[in-house]
Amino acid sequence: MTQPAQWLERLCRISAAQAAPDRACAWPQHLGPDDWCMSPELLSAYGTELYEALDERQRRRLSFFEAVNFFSLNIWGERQLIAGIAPRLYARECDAISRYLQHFLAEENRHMALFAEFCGRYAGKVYRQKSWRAPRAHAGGEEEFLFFARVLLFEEIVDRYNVAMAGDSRLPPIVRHINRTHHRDESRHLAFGRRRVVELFERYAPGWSPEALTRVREELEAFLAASWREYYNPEAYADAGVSDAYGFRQRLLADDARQRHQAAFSADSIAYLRKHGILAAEGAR
Amino acid sequence: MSRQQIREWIVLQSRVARCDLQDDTPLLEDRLIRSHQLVELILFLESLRGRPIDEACLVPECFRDIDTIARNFLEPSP
Repeated sequence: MTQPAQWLERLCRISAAQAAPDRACAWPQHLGPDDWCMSPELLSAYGTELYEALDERQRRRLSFFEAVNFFSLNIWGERQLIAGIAPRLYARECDAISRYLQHFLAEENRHMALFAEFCGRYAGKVYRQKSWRAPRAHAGGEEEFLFFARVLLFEEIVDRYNVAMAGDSRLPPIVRHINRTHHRDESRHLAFGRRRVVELFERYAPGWSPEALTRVREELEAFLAASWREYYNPEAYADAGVSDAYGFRQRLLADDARQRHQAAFSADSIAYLRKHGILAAEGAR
Repeated sequence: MSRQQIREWIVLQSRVARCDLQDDTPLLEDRLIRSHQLVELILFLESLRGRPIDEACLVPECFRDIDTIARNFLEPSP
């Protein structure tokens, strides 16, 4: 078996230590639509006229159901991740990273359980997953690269939200705990993901045609935009009492304030991908 | 709710010329609709029909072309 690099060994050691059973959490008897469960500044309507038009109770309802949506998105994101990681375990091209991938899987599974417990216990449901991928042909290594790049983009947005909510004293302790726990593990996943994405790009991109490279870049940009749009869930709006939930969503998506929020939260990820030539430099095509 | 609304949505999203889009034009195969647009299409269809789409229907066969989409999602079950 190929020996893993020192940095991977270190991630394995930290994961093993973090898995110690000191992470039990106290689930309150009741949480519901009258409780703030997502920081107001992170709500998908924040900064818009539509948000200003909501009263305090409506904002709290939105906060509760958007927390359920955020945790639901995490469940589906991690389920796809687990489905993608499992067949890579001990595959030849993943030999050197397989020991870490086992920690990765275990941690993702624990996160899913936390998210699902919150959704089931307090909302009685997990919002449905609507995203799926239509099959298409790939250049050599393209699918492998895109898998890890999509995971990275998805998790980097999530992590920004986790960090903000883990330290938000306006939120119930259980919500802060879930976000803190997730961030603690994700910080290692992101360190791993950033290296892995660059490594795969440097390995495979030289063999891609210019058209394939353009396709990969367009797909990453489109994936990032689509990931953001999933934060605007009409089912959550309807549950929060918004009439014409679909129209509400479309108006939010078109709002400049929301575009600015998304750009600010994705700036670091985009800068990293540009720095390594994965995305084209700003203004270049 | 009609095929015409689906057609307009696809023209807007894919920028395909209206005259090139027939009810049997393969949408996924010709990449007029990409994976990242499927969620948007599903939400649009749900808004037209006023009820959710079953997860079991989220497969390429149900989104092959406008005919298939209309048959699967907009027309009342027999």
